[in-house]
Amino acid sequence: MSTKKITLLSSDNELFTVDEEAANQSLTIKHLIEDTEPENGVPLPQVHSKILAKVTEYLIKHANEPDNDAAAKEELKNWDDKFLEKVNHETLFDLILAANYLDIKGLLDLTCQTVADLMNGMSVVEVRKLFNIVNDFTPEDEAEVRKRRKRGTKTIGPSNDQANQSNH
Amino acid sequence: MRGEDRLSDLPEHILHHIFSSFATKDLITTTCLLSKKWQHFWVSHPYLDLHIENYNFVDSDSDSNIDDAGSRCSPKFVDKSLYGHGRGGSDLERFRLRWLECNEGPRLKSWIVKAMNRKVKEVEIVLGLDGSMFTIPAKVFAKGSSVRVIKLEACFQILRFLIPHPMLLAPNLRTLELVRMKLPKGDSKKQVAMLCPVLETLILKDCYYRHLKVLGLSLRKLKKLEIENTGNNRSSCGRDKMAIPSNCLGVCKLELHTPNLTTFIYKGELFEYFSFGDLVALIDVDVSLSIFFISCPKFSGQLSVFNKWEDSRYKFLKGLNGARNLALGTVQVLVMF
Repeated sequence: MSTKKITLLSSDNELFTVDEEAANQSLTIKHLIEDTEPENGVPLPQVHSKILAKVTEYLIKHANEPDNDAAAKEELKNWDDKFLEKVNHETLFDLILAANYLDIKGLLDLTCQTVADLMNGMSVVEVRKLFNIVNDFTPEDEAEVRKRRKRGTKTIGPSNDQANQSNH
Repeated sequence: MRGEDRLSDLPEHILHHIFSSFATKDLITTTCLLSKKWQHFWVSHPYLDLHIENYNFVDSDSDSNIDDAGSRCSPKFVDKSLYGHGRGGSDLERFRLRWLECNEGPRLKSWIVKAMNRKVKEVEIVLGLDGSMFTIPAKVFAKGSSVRVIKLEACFQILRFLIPHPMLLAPNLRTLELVRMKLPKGDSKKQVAMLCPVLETLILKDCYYRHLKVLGLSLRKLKKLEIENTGNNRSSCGRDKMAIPSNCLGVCKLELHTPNLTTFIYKGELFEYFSFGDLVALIDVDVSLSIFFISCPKFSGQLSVFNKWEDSRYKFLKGLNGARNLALGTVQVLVMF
């Protein structure tokens, strides 16, 4: 088993050290190590130390994921829930972007699902409020979209029949 | 940084990831009125999740409010989602369909073919058929197939929703789950061979093998195999009305050539014959076999059958003796009067 240590360098020049096995869950880091063999830490200029601290916490916990052990899987799932429990929206979105940039599938799945769960069962107005989405429809526009949706399948979709035909 | 709209600013592919678990109707309801940017978001969403209800679907309910429209849709809505709005050519990640009162086989077939043409990676279909039979288009399992995950579940009637013949060469298939499906006919010797080169997970629940002599699983990459023959998997159809033939196994022989199999879960009745080739990688085995009990002395002649069961159970377990973890249980007791 490899115990080689990898040092990661955040955008604000903080160093984080993790086992190679943990680091390799990030395909971006893995490829950076393979391609450039950096001596003074893997530079990650897009990730701030505040976020990289969370990311490394995740990587360390998820190194050696249990394949078949149901109890260990359950424990890990509980850990995941706790991991994001007290995270505010800003950090959550930063984590999504970091997971995307670092190409960590498990963390991207987890954070995306968390955002999806936040919206679960919410109305349009509630989702707008939750994520500060500005409603830039004029009342007429909005009424038109609602009307089209209500009329159902005949005019579903963004374009009318004419536009559809012109696409063919 | 209060007040920033971080969601809308995310790259589009991440947004699709976030909404990948939404039913298509829910996605539209939730997003199309958020703001102008979101109005057409769902059109390019590569995850389709459609639950058809033939009658009383919300599409035609002109009084319904957009905010509480249901997540079920009409067949017409599926047409539009797959073909409509001029962007019907973009690649699909997943096509998930649930149609418990399916009465239009040709239409269903055209949807599956369309999804295949859109290079779909995951196909999940739960189907209840109204009288007629339906065979999955052979294209899904053929050599050129892009599909990585297939989950097919028949509701109510086991013998109506069929796997095409010949089956299972799909070069990209990683996961295959069949629930209450009839396996294909097989060759002239009534043999079916599954040969998917990269299949890693295979789940067969309450499938029908009675017309077969041999089911051969020659799957070099297979890691997880789950077979269940209990007739108990009726939850996801939401109804109790289920016509399952009494003996789905017949004399079919199960042959495993799965050198990389690590997890083997087996529940319910045993195949009458089996051969386990090189199960050298086996780690976890979880076996819960049906137990037969003969209560009436009048039928003591049945004891020879009973002994044969005992014999095959012994052989079955012996074939798995290389496993590191072995869990044994009983799934049901069948009493013969």
